[in-house]
Amino acid sequence: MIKVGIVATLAEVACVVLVHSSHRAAVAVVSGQAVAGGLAGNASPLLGWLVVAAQMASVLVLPPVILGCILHVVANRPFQRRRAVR
Amino acid sequence: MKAILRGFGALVLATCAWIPCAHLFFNPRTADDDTATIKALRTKVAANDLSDFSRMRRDNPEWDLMGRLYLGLTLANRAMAQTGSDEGRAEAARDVAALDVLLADTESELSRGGQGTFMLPYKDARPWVSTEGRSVFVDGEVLLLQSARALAAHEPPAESAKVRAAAITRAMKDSPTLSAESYPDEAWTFCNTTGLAALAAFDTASAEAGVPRGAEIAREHDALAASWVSVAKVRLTDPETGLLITSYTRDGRVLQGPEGSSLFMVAHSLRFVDDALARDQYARTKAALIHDVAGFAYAEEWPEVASIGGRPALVRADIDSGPIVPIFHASAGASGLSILSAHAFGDHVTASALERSLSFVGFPDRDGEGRATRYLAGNPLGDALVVYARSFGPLLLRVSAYKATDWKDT
Repeated sequence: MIKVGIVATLAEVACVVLVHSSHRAAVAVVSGQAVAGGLAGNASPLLGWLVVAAQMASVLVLPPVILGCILHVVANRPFQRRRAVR
Repeated sequence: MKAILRGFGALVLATCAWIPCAHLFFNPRTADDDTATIKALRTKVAANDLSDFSRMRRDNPEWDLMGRLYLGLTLANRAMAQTGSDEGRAEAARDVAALDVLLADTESELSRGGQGTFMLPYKDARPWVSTEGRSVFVDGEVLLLQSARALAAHEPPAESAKVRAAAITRAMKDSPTLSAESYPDEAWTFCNTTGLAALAAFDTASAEAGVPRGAEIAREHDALAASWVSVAKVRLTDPETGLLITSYTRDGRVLQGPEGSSLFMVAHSLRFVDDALARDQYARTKAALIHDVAGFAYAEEWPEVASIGGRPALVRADIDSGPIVPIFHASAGASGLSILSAHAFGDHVTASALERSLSFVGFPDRDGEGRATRYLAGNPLGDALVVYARSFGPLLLRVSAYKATDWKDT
């Protein structure tokens, strides 16, 4: 779980960096004009969707995973202590 | 095995604790955001630079006119809401001045390229059924803009507004469904209700300015609106949902059933025409299309998407719905217009939840003071729509106040 937590934290950092540093350029591809343009075959909204997916992941998916890992580690400490005592 | 179960339990617990709190990191818009957005839009318009709007024509010429309409109505609402202080009067004068530039440029575009300037290319696909061949989409939106401007400036409507009002009235009266065409043999509830709202605002401006024969024309418009509502309840309503359909031929054959991007605007416009029908449509549309997931609200474009031929919603995304978020079927177009509807009906809880979603997936671009000036995942039409939604009220109050008088007896 600690490994999962570390990976999730790194992914969270990567998503936040992507969203906050490059979203202006990336979202421009999917946004307003380009969304309709993409639907009409004038532009690919792929890059924009990637940023939207990163935003979704950084807010809705990764924080619960990180929190779950922390909870798991904290909750396991008494068991590990008991095992160590035995 | 126990460790895996404990790990799974921790994940479930963390998800249950986190998801209901995630919306707290995203705030609804504030009055400061509105001021920043309006000033950003108004400054360019006042400098006669409407390139932000006209650029949208490459993707959809309608967006240009709609962006102008929402920004113009915002400016008119602001001017009407200003207090009598010196600063208030000066700000109102700046709003009306920008509105004048907006209208002058729109008239100039229309005289240069005709109504087709603001219409999709399929306008030329077949002949108009009506003899005049005018689009109520263009006439209705420009008339609403002109009438709002007249009310904001306390002046009578312009001569060209009178011509447009008469053209809309003729086109609607001549149609078997009392609906004027937006495109050849294609009538939209969106455009016809906007047209009726524009006639109500036009009548109010004419009455306040004491225009000769104003009450007589207003009575004609009022009778037309009442008849349209009667026809709409019988012929333009989807029997399964009770929602107004979106588009139909001039004689009433259904082309597109209920759609969120149309219904939310229609419900808003009906507030100027028939408040009971407006509230009924908003309640039904909200129940069918708006969803709230953990404090984030969004709107779908079509009721019961899953039942439409089993096809994924993404396939059905069109120019009106905008992109559709998979799984949730959230539509950008319907969600944006649902903000307008929520504010128009004073549904502030829903409006806040929708604005939170906008902060989440709209990527607000903030100025030095942290105020959202625009949305990077949107366009100037979306920015103008949001500020119009949040400024909604003063124009409706003026029209309602006029309708509450004994004008029919004058």
